[in-house]
Amino acid sequence: MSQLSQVRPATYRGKAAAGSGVRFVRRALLYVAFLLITFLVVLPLVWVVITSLKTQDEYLHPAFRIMPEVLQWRNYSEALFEHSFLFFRKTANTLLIALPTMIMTVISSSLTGFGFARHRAPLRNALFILVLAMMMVPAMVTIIPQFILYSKLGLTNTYWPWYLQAVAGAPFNIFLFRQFFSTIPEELEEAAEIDGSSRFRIYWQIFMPNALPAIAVVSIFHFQWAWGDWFTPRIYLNEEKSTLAILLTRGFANPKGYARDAVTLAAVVVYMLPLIIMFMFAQKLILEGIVTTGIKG
Amino acid sequence: MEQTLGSPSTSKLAPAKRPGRARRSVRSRREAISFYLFISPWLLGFILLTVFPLVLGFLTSLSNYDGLNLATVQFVGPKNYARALSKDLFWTSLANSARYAIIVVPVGITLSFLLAVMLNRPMRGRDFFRLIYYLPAILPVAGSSRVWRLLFDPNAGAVNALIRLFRPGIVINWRLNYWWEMLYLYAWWPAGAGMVIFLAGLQGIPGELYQAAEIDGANRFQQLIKITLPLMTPVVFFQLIMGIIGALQVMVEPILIYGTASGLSGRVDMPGRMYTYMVYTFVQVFDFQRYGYGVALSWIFFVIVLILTLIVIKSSKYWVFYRVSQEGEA
Repeated sequence: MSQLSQVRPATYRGKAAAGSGVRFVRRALLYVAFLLITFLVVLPLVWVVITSLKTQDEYLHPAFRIMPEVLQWRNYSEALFEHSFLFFRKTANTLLIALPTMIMTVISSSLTGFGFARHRAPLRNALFILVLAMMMVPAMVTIIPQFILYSKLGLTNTYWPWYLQAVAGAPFNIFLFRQFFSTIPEELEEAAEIDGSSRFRIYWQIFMPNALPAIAVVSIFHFQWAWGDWFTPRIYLNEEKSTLAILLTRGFANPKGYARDAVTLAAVVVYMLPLIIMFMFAQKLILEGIVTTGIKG
Repeated sequence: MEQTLGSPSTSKLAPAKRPGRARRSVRSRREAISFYLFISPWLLGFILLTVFPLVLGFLTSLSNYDGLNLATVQFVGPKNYARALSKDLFWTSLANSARYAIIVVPVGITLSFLLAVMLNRPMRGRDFFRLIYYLPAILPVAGSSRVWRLLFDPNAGAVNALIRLFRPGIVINWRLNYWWEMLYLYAWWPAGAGMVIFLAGLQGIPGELYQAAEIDGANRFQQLIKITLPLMTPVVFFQLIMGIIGALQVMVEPILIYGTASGLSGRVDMPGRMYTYMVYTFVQVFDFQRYGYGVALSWIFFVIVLILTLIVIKSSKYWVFYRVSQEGEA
């Protein structure tokens, strides 16, 4: 008996004696399948890391060699510290969008979610259906007229379109907060009401401190979105104010205008790293958030 | 009798109840006011940033507005809509989006479902595999599209390198000749995201069902088809609706995966025959400033999506299995 069979749940043990060979083979095949899928899923990422360590010559003329002759760690220092610190300047711009909007969307979405979860009022259900229905409206239908409006107001090439949108909250986040607040026991709320606390105080001092998982999930999802968003910066911002996403889709070039592909790939790796690290640390929360809302990240 | 006891509107008890009722109505009015105060950020945003633009956009779609001069704006009626229907590129891009959605959504859901079923039993390394399969879903599109272009690069790409192990000297230009395959595979890379949702659904299936089936002599495959699949149809239904809406709107991915590095600084640079519907709209609005026409395109799209969604919802009564006791849906 191999190690593999030891993890088999107890209920199967009776049968195992009869066809243990078949079972072992079946299990081994399953593992082979998992490893093969793992290879396919991870290959693109491994490949980008390998390629980011090549010279530009190796990139253009691979000569069927997979590994770089000498690992070009200086691609990373070039991506980060040369090209007049573009990477850091774009990072700062990206954070100027991502962080304030993250706080705003948490506050407004939780306020709205609390409203829907903990109050009875006329039209409440109709309005909540409206929130959900907005998730199904194709984004372009509202984005084009919004773009026209912001252009007329002179708000293009500023971060106001993001900030204003964040104050309005996001349907997805409202839904998440509503679901979470609905699970908090009523006794907590009643006790505070007897003490004469205002509704806002109940929200701020009782519900929010108890909603840390929801706050974390919404913050993470929002940060992922803002960090990765290419479309909104593309339509609103010019070169100087633009974000990392825009920089990386264009890539670096040397002064003569030739592309520095391997250096760009090094920047891509650094760009994706914060999200991967965040995922590793908060995977449980993230996966729970996906399950609650049924929407993939 | 029991009913009247609890009911406040019983005539006998009415005088005694009146103060309580008044207090209750004050309370409920207060509750309503605080409800509207709490949802006011969303409500204001909804009116100003959604409803108003929707109306404004619809009016724009009936005009020749080009973003520059308000003085020359004219009401042109449904001309923009008629123009769209007469353009070859409109139909090409619509067909491309349809083709993309028809292939990507069902295959994607099937892949996610199979992964979930495979990873649902307790086994060593299960959490590791789940984590790895989900990983691509968190990658930002600006990064992952670069990764994809590299993967399929004729010279530096891993796919060609793998093929060259068996057929030396071969150089396949994926971006030119197998453009669709590249995009499909990109869409299936994060199949682990759907897997997570299916896994949550699978956890909700009572184990007794399988035990009973086993006693009746049903094999694994029969259990999958007769128990797991029917009980998962609500999840499939939800995934299908969100998947169709998402896939039909695909825009950034084709622009970034196909777009050449130099072209990304300016306009979208991909041949029209590869446009998806939203790429077409994007180009018309943001590269050519045809706002009225662009909004008309987006409204046509909205109507198409609405009809499709309604069809899927209507069809659900024939194939979606709802349990009698719905304690918790995925």
